[in-house]
Order: sequence, then structure tokens, then C-alpha cells
Amino acid sequence: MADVKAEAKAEVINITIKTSDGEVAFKIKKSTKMSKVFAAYAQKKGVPEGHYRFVLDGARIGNDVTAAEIGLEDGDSIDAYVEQLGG
Amino acid sequence: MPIAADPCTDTPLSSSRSLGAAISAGVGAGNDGSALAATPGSTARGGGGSGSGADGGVPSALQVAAAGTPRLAALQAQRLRPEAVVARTPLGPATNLQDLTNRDLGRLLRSGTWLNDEVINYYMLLIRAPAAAPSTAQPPSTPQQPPPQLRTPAAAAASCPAAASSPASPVPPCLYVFSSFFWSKLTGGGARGRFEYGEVQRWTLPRRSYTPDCVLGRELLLFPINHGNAHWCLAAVWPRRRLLQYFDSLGGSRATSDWVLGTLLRWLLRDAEDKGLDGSSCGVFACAFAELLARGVPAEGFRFSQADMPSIRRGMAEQILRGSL
Repeated sequence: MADVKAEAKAEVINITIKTSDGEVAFKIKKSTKMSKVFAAYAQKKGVPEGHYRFVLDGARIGNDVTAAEIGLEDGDSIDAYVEQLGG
Repeated sequence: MPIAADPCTDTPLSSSRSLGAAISAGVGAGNDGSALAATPGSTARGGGGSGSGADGGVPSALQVAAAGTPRLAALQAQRLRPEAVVARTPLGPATNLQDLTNRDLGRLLRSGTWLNDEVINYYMLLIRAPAAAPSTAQPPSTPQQPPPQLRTPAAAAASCPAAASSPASPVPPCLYVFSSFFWSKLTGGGARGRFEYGEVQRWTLPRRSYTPDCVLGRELLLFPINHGNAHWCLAAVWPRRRLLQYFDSLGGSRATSDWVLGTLLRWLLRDAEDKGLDGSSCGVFACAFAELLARGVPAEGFRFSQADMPSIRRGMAEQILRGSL
């Protein structure tokens, strides 16, 4: 019972965002909108927002979704991809 | 070696490796960009899919373009900023919105422009959305599926019972489409010798694919493949038929496709850019292949060509805007 309450409050999880050249760790609340995380990541990388596509095990993550809504859990890793082009 | 009922329980994608020996390779061979040949003697649909009528081999985007593209016209009249979102659809949770910007849609509308992952992956969402029940003028024959709702692909896709389509039925195959990042992830960014199974091991977990079932149990798996950031192709895997197909609008080499299909999991390394035809519409071809396969059309039945590209581009744009095929 106590566990349930604590969980409902604000569970903090550690996640990483990965590209081919390394990863960045984030500590976030499960209620955090992913757009905040993505903005922070873009800033850290020195690129404009929208530069990366963030994907969790194959599923693209939208901006307005929260960590909890997409089932992010402690230790999960998000992939950041750049644009793919082709003719 | 039949695929287990729930292949996700152990080594998901490795199953396609063990299929390798039994796999037939299909190589797209359209020098002029016309109908692509495939799978000598191995098309398992046995004519079932070819029963989709006279329009069976034509991408639905063609019909859409012919019937008029009012949404597209309205959009263009608005002169939106490039970053404006012009199409939006949820993936999994209703709040997990996938956006397509005016800039990315615009790639479809300029002949000669390459497509990017945004357009390709968005179109793939449409393909997997209504379990491939076409919403176009004359749908072949799939009344069992309600007409696709606007912008509800994920939910519809979720209801794809593995047993829904028997081989003999004309129903479009129960399918799943992977994102274009799959191939890139699996091959460590497109390196030939690399096989990073662990990187994609979780992609077929139902909670990650937002499906009630493991997608490996489905009849057809589609993989848009980006080649060297310069070329789009499509791989199709029919696990239960032990059939893999590879569709390359620039032809490609048999040796390369054998290798790609035999492992399914190696990166295609073949620059086809100087093959001489419109080197800019491969993404459009790939989407059209995918859409036709999703409708159950066998590859031999494809009937569209380079000349249709401008119309297909417009039609696809319209489909994206209206949120259904």
C-alpha cells in the first residue's frame, strides 16, 4: 500500500539517450514530458531541437508524451537518430 | 521449421536467421523502374492476392491522385511555415503523437527530392494502421474491417489477430511494419560486417511495439531500409512462408540481395545511385511496394512505373494528410 502511494507521487528513474558515439544519462520523473528531456539533450549536443528522432525500442517517442505513458523504466535506453535520406 | 506460436519468448529475430537456408530471395529488377520482379517460384500467396482485381497492382496513391487531392490543395494554399505540423497520428498511447511537418511533407511534392525517414515512417504507420484495409475508391474486398478512422492507426493495428488471415483468403496479410531505424540499428549504422542483435532484441516485445501480440507471429513484416543515407529499399519477410523479399527500385545485385536476405540482418551495401534512372524516387517506390504488399498484392502483380512517380507522390501526400490510405 505504501509502495503504491510512493509510486504515485513522483517516481524518479535513470535513463540514457544513446547515439552511435556515446550516451548521456538523465534522471527524470516518470511524469516528465519527454520534450523536456529531448530539449535538454539537444542543448547538450549543441543542435537545434528536431535534429534528433528519439526512439524507444523501435517506437518513435512523441514530444508531448510522458515517460510513464510510454512505459519508460529505470535503466531504459532511448536511441537518438539523425535524419535518413534517400532517393 | 515452423515458427513457434509465440516466437517472442526466446530469440525473436534470430528465427529469421535460422530460416536462412530455406529462404528464397527475390530481387527487384526494374531497370526502367517499372514492375519489379520477385521471388522466382516462391510467392506463397498462390494467386490469392492477385485476386484483388484490376487495380491490384497499382498503388492506391495513384487512384487518390486521380480522384483529386483537395487536402493537399488546401494545405498548399495556406503557405504554412516549414516546421508547421501537417499530419499527426498516435503511436501506442494516445498522447504519443507522431508528427509530420510541412517541411517533410514537402519532400513528396517536389519531384526529384529525396524522401527522408519522417515521410517514409509516417507512411508506414498508415500502412500498418487499418490492417491494410484500403479506404480508396474501390477497395478490393475486405468488408470485415471497418473503414479506417481518421488518425487512429495504433489502436487498429493492435487488433491484428495472428490467425486472421489464412493463406487462401483474399484478406490482406496481418502485418507489421518496422521503422526505418531498425536496419540501421541492427547493422550498427550500416556497417556490413556488423550484426547487433542485442540492439534490436527488444523491438519485438509487445509492450514496445504497442501490439497485443508479438509481431513476429504475423504473416508479413516490412522493413524500410535506408541505404547509405542515399537510397531507400524495402524488405518483406513472411515468416511462416519462409519467404523473404527485397525490393530495390534501382535493381541491385543478386549477390547482394542473397546476402541481405539470407541473414535479413545485414546491411545492404550497394550504391545504386548511378544506375541511371530517377535516383530520387526510391523512397516513393519503397512506400508503394509496401502499400501494395500490405494489400496482399503479389510482387508480380505490381503495375506502376517511373512515369507514375509524380502522381504517386501527390497521392501519398494526400493520404498522409487525410490520415488513411
